[in-house]
Amino acid sequence: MVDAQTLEHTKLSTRLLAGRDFLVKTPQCVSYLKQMHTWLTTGSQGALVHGRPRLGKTSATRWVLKVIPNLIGNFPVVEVPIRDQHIASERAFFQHLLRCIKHREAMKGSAGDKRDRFSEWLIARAKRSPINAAVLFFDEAHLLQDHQYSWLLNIGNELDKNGCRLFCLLVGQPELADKKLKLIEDGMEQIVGRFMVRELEFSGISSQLDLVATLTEYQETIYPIDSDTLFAENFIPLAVRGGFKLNSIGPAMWASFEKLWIHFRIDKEMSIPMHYFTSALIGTLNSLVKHDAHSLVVPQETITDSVNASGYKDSLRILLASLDKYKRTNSRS
Amino acid sequence: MNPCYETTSWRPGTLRAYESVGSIGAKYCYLNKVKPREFYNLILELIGEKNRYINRDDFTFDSLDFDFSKLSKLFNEPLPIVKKLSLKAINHLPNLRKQTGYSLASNEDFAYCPICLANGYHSPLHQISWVTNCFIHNEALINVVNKNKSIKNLHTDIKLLSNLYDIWFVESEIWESAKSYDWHLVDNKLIEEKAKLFIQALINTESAITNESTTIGNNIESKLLVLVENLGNSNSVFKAMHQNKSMRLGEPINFICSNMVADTLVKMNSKDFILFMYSRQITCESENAPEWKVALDKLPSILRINHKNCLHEYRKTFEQLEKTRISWCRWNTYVHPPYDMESYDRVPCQRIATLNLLQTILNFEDSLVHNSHGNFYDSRLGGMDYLFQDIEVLNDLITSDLAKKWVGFIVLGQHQIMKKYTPGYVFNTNDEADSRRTSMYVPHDLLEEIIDQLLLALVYVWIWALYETEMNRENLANQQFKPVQYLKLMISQLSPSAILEKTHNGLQLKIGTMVPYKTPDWFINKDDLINHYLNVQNKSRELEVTFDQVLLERMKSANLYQKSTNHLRIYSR
Repeated sequence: MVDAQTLEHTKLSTRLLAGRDFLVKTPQCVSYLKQMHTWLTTGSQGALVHGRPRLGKTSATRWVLKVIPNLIGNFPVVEVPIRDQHIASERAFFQHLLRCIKHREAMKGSAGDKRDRFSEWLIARAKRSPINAAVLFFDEAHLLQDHQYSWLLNIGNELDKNGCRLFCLLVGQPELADKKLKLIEDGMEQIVGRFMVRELEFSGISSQLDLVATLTEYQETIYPIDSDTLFAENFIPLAVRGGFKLNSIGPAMWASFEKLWIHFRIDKEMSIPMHYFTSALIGTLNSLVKHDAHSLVVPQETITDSVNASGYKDSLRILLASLDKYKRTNSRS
Repeated sequence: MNPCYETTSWRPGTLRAYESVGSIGAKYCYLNKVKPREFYNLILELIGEKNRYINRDDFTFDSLDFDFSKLSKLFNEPLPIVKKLSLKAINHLPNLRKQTGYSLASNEDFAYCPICLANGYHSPLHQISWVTNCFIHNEALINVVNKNKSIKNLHTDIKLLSNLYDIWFVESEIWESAKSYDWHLVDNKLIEEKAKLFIQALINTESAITNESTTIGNNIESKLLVLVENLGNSNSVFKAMHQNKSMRLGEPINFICSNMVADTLVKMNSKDFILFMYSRQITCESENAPEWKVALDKLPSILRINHKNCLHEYRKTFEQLEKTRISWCRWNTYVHPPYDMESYDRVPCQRIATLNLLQTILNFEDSLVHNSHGNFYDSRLGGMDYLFQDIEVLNDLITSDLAKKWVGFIVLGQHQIMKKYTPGYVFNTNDEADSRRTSMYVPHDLLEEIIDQLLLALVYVWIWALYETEMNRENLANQQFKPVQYLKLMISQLSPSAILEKTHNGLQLKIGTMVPYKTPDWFINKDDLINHYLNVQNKSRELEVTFDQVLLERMKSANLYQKSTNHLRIYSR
């Protein structure tokens, strides 16, 4: 029988790993925010943000889009997840966009009706924003097809005609960068020129300093919102009240991740995806629950076990395989 | 990020206070590229499953369960403005309704202000049946017949959606910015400021009504205006919008009486007064006649001044023609007489038709009340029952000597001043009784004085309605409007209203009337008189020729050419 406290911890852990419960500012997020600020305030109409899976691109983008209105004012943002939907036709594509904004009339009418309905929705909101712009955030944008970019061009033109700007934020995996090259090769500069001039390669936590900074963010986070409980207090309340600082485990955690990196001999700058970092942190905190005390000492092996169990090791294996494949392809060509 | 509730393509900030459901619907259909059906579905959702309204003629947004909060979220418009789509605040004012029959019932037509329409706005305040001018711009409203079908489970005002959609988004010339992203709209502050004045006039009047007064009259709208004006709540917007804006509230007439008498009289309702007005008309003697009776008795002779020759000419020719016509009709097919006093273009002189109309007005004993005071009883029944028992305070009135029973004979046919000019009359014998025994209650003492004042206002309305009808005779012919219909319409529109209220020492009567207490200028100047008489003679010939041609056609078709010459002479003049 699972006790109520354990159940509560499990729920909390699951919610955190799902990535929607709260967004944490990482050094990468800060740099992303700066970029985004520049893009939106210098008239850009789109940008590519790409990186390996599980780096936390989606969460970082959500965080940036949530924070940036404090700097430049409100503007409409539509998050469009691109998965394996049947959105090959223009009608289905705009229907998908209308459903993303929970439009009451999403299902009615022809492709043209749906396009106009969506443009109207965007323009009405963009016109009221201080930057006269609307942002479409395409998640997993590497799955977008050429003709879908053309439809986005039409929407962009429609906004442009009415004194507004459409900014397409294309967030996806590294194939997105390849897609840009392919579009140039295929002579579709208008798409690249419009949406892909600006580019950001997203990476995970790449230094001990970054890792400690991220831990500090977690340390200062109040959770649940509107409570006066610090995030770590949900697991180790006595220790937190006794002065335990979450960022104190930073060097040990960095060492455990580094050890795995070195073990796989990857010939690249080290990077820890946010997903594995969060998983390792949650794992560590869960392990500490039963040792909670005013003067808590965190054993290195608890952290190492949590890092090992985070899935980071498997992800490095995949990374190594893909790098080998890349090298082979390059050497053949 | 993405909205967590349902959205639509609407332009936030473009919704206007007191905007009609048709106006919003037309814009919704345009912005969302959907058919009206989708908007109807949305409204059905918002008004709730119970579809509850207080009155059948309420506007759509007056639904008791209307979800303004949802509409506010859906359109991203501020809730205070969305809530101002409803006229609930003034739709049900029980005191006003009791005193005047007040309602905001909508016009069947599509009524609009051209300036509002050119600025993308239409309001239910344009649709109210007794409103003739725009509350914002004071512009005269234009009425267009609305042939759209009703929508199941929805109120009639939603039918205007199609009209407005076509005007704005199909024709696109009326509202120039309709298809652009920057709509030019009527300023919301201006709308709210003006509407507030209109609403305040009604709400303040509603709260100021007491049992110390009663309103009298047949015209619901003018009664409302009298009440609003009398209680000092009228303002420039309310007055300008009202169809009876030309009404003047006369000088108050004071009657000194006891508190008990005053109490009894203010308990009488409008119908009670009208009943006594009727009995007073029938029983009023010419000796020591009140002013209204003198004015009415003089009217036939005033109308005949300058037209004696016309009447003579008319009678001479029609008697001659009638001999031929009746003789023909006796043995052959029926032929209409060329004259018809019920139509201005079938008499040689317009005054003949006007005198004929005057008979309708003078017909107290028959149709007057029935026509001009509402259909609340049938006075044409023999041995008339005047339903005086319906007057709740009748016994109090009799006890206070304000009413008394009258039994006697009323002379019939006195109103038939044109009887001898009626085709067919010459040859007919009159078998009708010339009097009828009747019993009724008549006003007495103070009530008689009050009734005489009310009748004076009414008689001048009749006179001016008659005058307006004659002056508009050419338009009536063009619009295929019968003069008698127009006369009734004018009487209804000009009908006076009065308010009788208690004072510290008795009663005060204030009468609101749309016409002056003087006879209009009916006369023709000397120079024009000769031309007029020539025209009458010409018209007379014209009508004779028309009749001869009709008769000739009939003779041809009856093959009378083959008969003897003597026989033909009988018919051809």
